[in-house]
Amino acid sequence: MSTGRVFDIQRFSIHDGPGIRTTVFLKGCPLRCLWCSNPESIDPKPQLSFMAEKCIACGACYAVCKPGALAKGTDGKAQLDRARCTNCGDCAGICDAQALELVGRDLRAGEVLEVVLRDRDYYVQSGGGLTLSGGEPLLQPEFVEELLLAARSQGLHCCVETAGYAGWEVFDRLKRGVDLWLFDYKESDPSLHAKFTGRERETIVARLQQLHDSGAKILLRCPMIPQCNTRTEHLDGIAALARQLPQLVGVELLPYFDLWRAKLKRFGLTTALPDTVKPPSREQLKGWSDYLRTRGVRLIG
Amino acid sequence: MSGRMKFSRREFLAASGLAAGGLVMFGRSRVALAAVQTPNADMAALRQALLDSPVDVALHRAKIFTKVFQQHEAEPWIVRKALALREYFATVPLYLREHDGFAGAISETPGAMPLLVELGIAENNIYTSERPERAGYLAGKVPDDIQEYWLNRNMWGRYRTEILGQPPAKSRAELKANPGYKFISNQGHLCPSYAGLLRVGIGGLRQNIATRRQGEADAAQLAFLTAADHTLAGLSTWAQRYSAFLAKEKQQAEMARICAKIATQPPETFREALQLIWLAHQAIHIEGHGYSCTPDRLDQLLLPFYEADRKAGRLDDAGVIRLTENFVLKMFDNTYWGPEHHLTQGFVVGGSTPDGRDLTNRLSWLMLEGATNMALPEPLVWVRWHPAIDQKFFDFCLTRLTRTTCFPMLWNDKVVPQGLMNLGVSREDAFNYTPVGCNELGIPGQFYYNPNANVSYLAAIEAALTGGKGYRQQWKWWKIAPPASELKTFDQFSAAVGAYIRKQLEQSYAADMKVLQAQMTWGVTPLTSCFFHGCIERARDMVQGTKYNILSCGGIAFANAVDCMAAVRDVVFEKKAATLDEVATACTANFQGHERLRAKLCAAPKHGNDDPRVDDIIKLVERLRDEPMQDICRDPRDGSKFGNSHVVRSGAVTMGRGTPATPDGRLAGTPVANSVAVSAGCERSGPTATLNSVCKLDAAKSWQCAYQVNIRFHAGMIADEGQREILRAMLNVYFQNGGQELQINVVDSAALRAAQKNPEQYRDLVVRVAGFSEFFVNLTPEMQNEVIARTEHM
Repeated sequence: MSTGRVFDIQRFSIHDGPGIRTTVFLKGCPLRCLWCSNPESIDPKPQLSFMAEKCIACGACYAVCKPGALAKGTDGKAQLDRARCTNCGDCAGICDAQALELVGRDLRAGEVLEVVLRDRDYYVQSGGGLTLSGGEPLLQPEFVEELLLAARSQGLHCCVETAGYAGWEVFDRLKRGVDLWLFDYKESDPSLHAKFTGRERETIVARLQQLHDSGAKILLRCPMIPQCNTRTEHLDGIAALARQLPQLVGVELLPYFDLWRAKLKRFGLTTALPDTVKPPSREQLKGWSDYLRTRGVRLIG
Repeated sequence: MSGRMKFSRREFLAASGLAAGGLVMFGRSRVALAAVQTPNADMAALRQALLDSPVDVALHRAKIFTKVFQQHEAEPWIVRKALALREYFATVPLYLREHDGFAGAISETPGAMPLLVELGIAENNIYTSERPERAGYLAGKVPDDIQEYWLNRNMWGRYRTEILGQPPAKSRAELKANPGYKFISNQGHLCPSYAGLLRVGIGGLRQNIATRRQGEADAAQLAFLTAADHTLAGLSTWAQRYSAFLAKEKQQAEMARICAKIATQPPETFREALQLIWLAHQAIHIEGHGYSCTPDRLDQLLLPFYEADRKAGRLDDAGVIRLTENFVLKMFDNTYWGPEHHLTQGFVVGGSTPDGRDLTNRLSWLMLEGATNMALPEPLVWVRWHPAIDQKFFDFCLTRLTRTTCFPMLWNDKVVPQGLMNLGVSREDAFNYTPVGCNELGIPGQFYYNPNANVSYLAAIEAALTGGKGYRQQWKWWKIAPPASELKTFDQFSAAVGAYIRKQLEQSYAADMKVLQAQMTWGVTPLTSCFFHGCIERARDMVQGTKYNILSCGGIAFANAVDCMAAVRDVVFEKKAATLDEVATACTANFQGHERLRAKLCAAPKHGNDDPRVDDIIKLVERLRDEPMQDICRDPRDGSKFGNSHVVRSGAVTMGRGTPATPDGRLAGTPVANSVAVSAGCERSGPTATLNSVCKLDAAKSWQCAYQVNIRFHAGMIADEGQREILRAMLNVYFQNGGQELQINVVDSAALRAAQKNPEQYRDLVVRVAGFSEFFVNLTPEMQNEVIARTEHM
């Protein structure tokens, strides 16, 4: 039995597919999107989260930290030297205050399903189910397949959210376990796509086309990031793509939101996205939606 | 402070509304700014006038009752009370507020509240704890001769001297400022039955009494019948006086006609029926039941009147909405969180028949609309959910939440009647239940709620940790359980907690039975009794017993109790990271110098997160309370068993202020759990997990007289049709799975601002926007502002 590297299980997810869902977030992603809403999801390895405001200055972590990355700071609380930290997690095991936590646990499909099934009644009543997200679930095909099949055998509706950067054989292997794909589409201009996400557009669009042609149900999800991909050219690109994929369930616009910046500090990460990028207004969002609608795009949400 | 303080109704209710049960969100700004959505400008104007109305003490009732009680000292107490009430109705100066379409006011002065002098004259412990600066509110307001006369003569005085055997007080200075609410008003928490009143009118009820007089009756029964007739005669006189008063006013001929008619005859139209119910409802408050009165099931009771009016073309839907708006404004005008406890009135719509048929009717819709249009913190508005509920109506209920931030509150016909049936109530009667008060239950004219034993789980846990001494050596509970050092297993520890719960229950029950004895002797209310089944037939006051006499045991801070037991098991007995003595020492020190132990206790599993590790502890805490209650508590009137309830009291914040640190890691003075769902700040897994946790409580067996569950949602979730559908699906599951009750607090921008100012009170507040979810208080101020800005655009 395989294990999956999970960084969060979020119950009562109502934005990742229809109805009330439990979203299982898998760690590791081949893309490097500037605006990634889960920056801790990119690295496949477990990562240490440190929330200094939770630290109670008990000092217990200093002794267990073999690389010597933790020491008493000027405010009396623990101070973490990321350069020395190996993300071994020994400190998290001893931190009673849960200021130090190792994010990214290896769980068996059965363990995950046990949590997911606790909300089964809500899925039935609301038309919801299980969503696998990330990170990139397709990086862990063995675990994902096992979890999907186990969930399907329990009668759960299953969504997989993907950025699409994987070999066709992975899609082919998983698609019988997926009721609805939440396929992310981020940029229509190839060079900007590479700049924003770190990967070429062509592979992703090719997989999208293949998946579509195989008869899979797909919802296209387009993050709308001001100053990046909210240009008319990209909107036209979305409309063109939608025409190319007549069996699409629809297109959903995901307005940028910047709560993720709060996470950067916890994980000692940085971002190249300027903080002048702010969430779009409702009016802007409506403008884009209207633009797409007039071009025949079926918008969802 | 002096007694010269001036408060407007708005200021007063806004400050105190914080305390009333589930109204945690209904703060100052809500009352003032609430979006009134009425099409009726005159009702909006009346609402504003009520908000701006000053509050004060009205003395007419006190003067009349003192005079009449003095004049008739040889008469039985119940007759003196009735003569006084009759005299009051015959003499009280009348008024009508501009735009008001219903006659009947609580006192002779707009906004002023009467004193129930024959019961007790004092500040109240609940409300002065909410507003400590108002202690002394009555100082200088009540004339000396009135105070002197009642010193040892009212219910409170007689309870002290005749039941407790204390020497008579020589002066007012000897009296406690806070005698407890049961000594300054009647018990309340009731729902009268108005079906008989509507059928035969006041005149018909008097006829019933006259008929009963022909039968056998002893002296006490004759006294009751005499008293009941006096009060009904008084009520009739009051209506006739209003008629004469209104006949002289401009454009009030119709109201004058209605008052003249219903003074003796049964009503025939919707408006006549509502006017009669209002007079009775108001009169019940004047008689003394100021607390938590629900005026029967209006949408069921008034349907024939509505249908007859519709057929005759006398009333349209807009008219019903308007009259309902007026009616709830009357209830609001009657509301006062003061020494006399006129508060937590409410009304309920919907429900099912015993065989599961939906009773939601056109009036349910219209009255819900009218009530929520007014965006008031009171009356409370409830809807009875059941499996066959019209889902369109349920959706409509949810849309109304944004108007008041918290109404309607929801009750579940799938479990409430079952709980009452477990206590011996017939199926037919059980399905006629109504909520009364913050979270209590009643049956119109058949059963009213009365807590007569309380358990503080947290005190029992403190006792078990300290060998019965308490953190401050404040108790002397010797030899009830072994000292903490001898409790070697979790089972031994929980047995010790159970022993202290039993001891508390014995003491609380014994003390409350004395209070009940006082109520049964001097707390009579012959007028209200006329609206309780069988009182006239048996010629006995309701306090001597109604059809069902289900007293209740209230448990306080259930969720914290579960968390404390779970933390002790985890940290002390499983991980062996501390001893019980160390936990006690840390709690005594409010965890100062024991931060690491506190962190361990905080990290233990918490109730409300659907965590299977606390499932058995939920059952354990229920059992530790239920078993001694079954052994000890019986209603002295007919030997009935007690029911169980969750005590909300005056709010988790107030109660928390006086509660020391607890082994779940909660700091001294911080809020305790405001519902049975989850302790303050411990919601970690989202609403489905919280609701699943609640469903692990046995609502029918263990919480027959009600519990309370609060849950918060972002305003945008209600406004968006798709998300509201998801919310509705979730609630359907919760109720299908046995959730008894639910109060939804809509988190709007005002609430978010409050959370910015008082983060410790909003630690569990999760914001979910566009797929992100985060605890609001964990966001930076800039991000919080962003979320607030978005909320305002919803």
